[in-house]
Amino acid sequence: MDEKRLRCMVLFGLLMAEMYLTFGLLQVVFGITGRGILLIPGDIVGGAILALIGSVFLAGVAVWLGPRGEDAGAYVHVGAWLGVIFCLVRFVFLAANALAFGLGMEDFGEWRITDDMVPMLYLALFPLAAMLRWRTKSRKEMRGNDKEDEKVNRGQDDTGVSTREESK
Amino acid sequence: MSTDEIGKIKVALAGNPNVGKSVIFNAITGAHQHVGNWPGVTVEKKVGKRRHGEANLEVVDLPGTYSLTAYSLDEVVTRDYIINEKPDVVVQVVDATNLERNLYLTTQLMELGARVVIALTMCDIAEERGDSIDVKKLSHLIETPVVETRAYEGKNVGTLLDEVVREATRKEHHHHTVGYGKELEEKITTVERLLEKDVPLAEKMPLRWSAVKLLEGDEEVTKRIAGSTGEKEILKIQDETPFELIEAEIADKRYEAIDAVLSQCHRRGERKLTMSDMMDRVFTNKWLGIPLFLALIWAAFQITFTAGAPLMELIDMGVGALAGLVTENVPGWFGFLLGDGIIGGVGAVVIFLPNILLLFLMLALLEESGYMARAAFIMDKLMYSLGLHGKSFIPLLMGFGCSVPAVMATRTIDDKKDRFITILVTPFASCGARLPVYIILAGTFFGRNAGNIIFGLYALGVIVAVLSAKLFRSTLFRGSPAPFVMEMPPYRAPKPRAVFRSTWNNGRMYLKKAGTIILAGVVVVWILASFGITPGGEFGMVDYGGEESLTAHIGKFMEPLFKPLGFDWKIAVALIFGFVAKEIVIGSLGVLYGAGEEGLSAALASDPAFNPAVALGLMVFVLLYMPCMAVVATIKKETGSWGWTAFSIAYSTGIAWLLAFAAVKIGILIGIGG
Repeated sequence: MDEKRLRCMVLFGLLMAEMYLTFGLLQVVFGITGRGILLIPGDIVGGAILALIGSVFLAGVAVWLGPRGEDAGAYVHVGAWLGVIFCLVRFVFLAANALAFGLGMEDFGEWRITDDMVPMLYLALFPLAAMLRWRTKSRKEMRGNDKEDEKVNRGQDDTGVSTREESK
Repeated sequence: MSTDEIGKIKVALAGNPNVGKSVIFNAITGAHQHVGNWPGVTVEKKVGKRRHGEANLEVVDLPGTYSLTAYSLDEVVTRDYIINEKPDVVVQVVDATNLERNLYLTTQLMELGARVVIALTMCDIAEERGDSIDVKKLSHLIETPVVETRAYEGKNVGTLLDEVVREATRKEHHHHTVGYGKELEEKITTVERLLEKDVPLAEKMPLRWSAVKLLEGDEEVTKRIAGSTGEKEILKIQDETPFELIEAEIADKRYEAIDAVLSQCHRRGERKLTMSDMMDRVFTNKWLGIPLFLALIWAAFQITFTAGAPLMELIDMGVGALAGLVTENVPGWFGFLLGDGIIGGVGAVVIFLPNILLLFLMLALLEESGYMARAAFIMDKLMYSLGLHGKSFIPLLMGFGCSVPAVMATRTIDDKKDRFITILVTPFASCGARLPVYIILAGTFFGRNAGNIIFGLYALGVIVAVLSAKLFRSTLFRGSPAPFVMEMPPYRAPKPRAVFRSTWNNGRMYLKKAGTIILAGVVVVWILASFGITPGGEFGMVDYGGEESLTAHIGKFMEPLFKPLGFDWKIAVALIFGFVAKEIVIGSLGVLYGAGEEGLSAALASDPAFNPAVALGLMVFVLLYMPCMAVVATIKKETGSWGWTAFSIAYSTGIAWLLAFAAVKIGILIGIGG
């Protein structure tokens, strides 16, 4: 990974770390105090998980500052994956609660969709967008590498070194 | 065997752990054997059949093994099968990403005189890493057919079977040997000659392989030569032989031979940081590993409960309507038996099918992705400090599904003490059968916190397991756990077919159990609740579940034991029947509360004997008390001792009582006791 791209990823990681940690801690505090505001309800466990995802991003930034800076991308990548995975989990909760409301289940009489509009759900839009962008970029790079490989392979054929493709 | 007399061909599938043997077995035989992305999924040999052209193939899937040294039970199963059953062909499944180590087993199989065909798997991952393998040249150099396969897609399975038939029907068989150097070869020849003297023994065992094993000090092979003509002289040679040095020398020579082959046909790519490597940096991180593991498991249980709840409600409505219809339209005691007994009891269990399917779906996703192996790795340090072997975590995780295969999976643990400790603590991992009890009680008494309570119960099971292990290690099984070495499988996107098959198989088993054991159990409970000693002193039908019923007599006999926990006689009866299968706890409560129409949840909520503290105590008791009948039988089989089996029952029930008592008292203290 080139230095410029890595720096961009780390910057993104820093931004995500701030957002996930802030929202996570807010949810934990609201959960303890029994308060909450629209779109940031109190939830101790949910908040702790957001803070954990934020810590993964933050670890990426810390690694970047250390001697093995090139590993920072791994943390940012995985942090983004975690953000999206837990967003999916939260989306399943939302769908299940909506179904429970539809069925008229006892605890769901006063349920509103905004009850389930939690940071775990909407914060994931950022990592999702970033992952799609990285994927497009990697594909472009891979196409470029394939062309390079083809050139190299043609050269190898001349020298007679066998490859797996040949043996097929 | 010639091509025109092809009959039955016995094929053994061997290979290192987690290289995809079971996937190939399923692809060949059409079986649906459980496939996992971690080592030790197959602990017993499995047999399947396939007709290929004129040949009838009998395929045996053997447990994974790195070598044939027989350090653990699963290695013994593999080795004994190849030596005693003498399969016509051994298909060795070889992981293309780790050729060197996989070919080490090949050298041993060849030394055994087996006809080997190599099925090369995971070529796509090797390719992704930039490796290149000249398959043709590899095959030529080791004089063994090598077929590149992608068993999940069924690719090249036919070609593999063609090679198997060709190899089985080939008249001449070239024995491959690795040279071990002049000095060692002289010793091997001497032992071979001594073995040769005993003709019946020589016919049973491959001489060169046996000689090598004897020089390595292999205990199993040494036992086999007991009473043979050359035994004394061989033992004398063994006395003069430094086993460990010889073993290391032999391993060196084998790897030299492998390197010589691979240098001509295998090119390692430049090691790029793959996605799998990236994920490992984070998931196995010293600080983040355990919190991430807990977060993922929490998500799995939350989905199981939250997403399952509305689906459960739908089935519950159906069951309630059916029970009402039957009770109204079928007259007499039969309608009562059908409505309140069978539909109420079995229905109380069947409504949890969505939760069971979701739980197994989550476990299958975690397992198929390769994450479970990491879970074992990150927990190793903690496990070791608590006196458990790192490998013990795998049976504990498997125990979340069912304790029977989990107890059997302890066979992959080499050390007997480590293995026994793991067997004794594995039933504390909460199996799927206990989930309905938690869902109904947590859902009824803890509302929206139900998911967290259930997660807490699973965590409590693991905590009790590790603390018990620590206790056993410092009392019954003194010593240190053996070091833990486990290969990390690569992360991979879970294959939908494998995930759904695993989920459905578990769901089907649950339904089958509901239609057999649970059905029988609830009918027995219904009979016991309907019959008893009438006030006139005669045996006959009494008030359903009333004071005169047989259930009341049984329950009241046991009640003093449960009274300190706040459990009444109905709960006592349900817990006793839970020994048959844990789901019967809910089935029995369904029958005893006559919960066919109104639903068990509503019946429990309106019973003054129940409150959140009692419900919590009951959940803790169900989590920890004696395992079900099938697990008890497996513990007996695996330990070979009634003593340890009885100990397991007594210990778990004692711990369950103590912790349930503590849970009820804490519940009362924090104000949820009524």
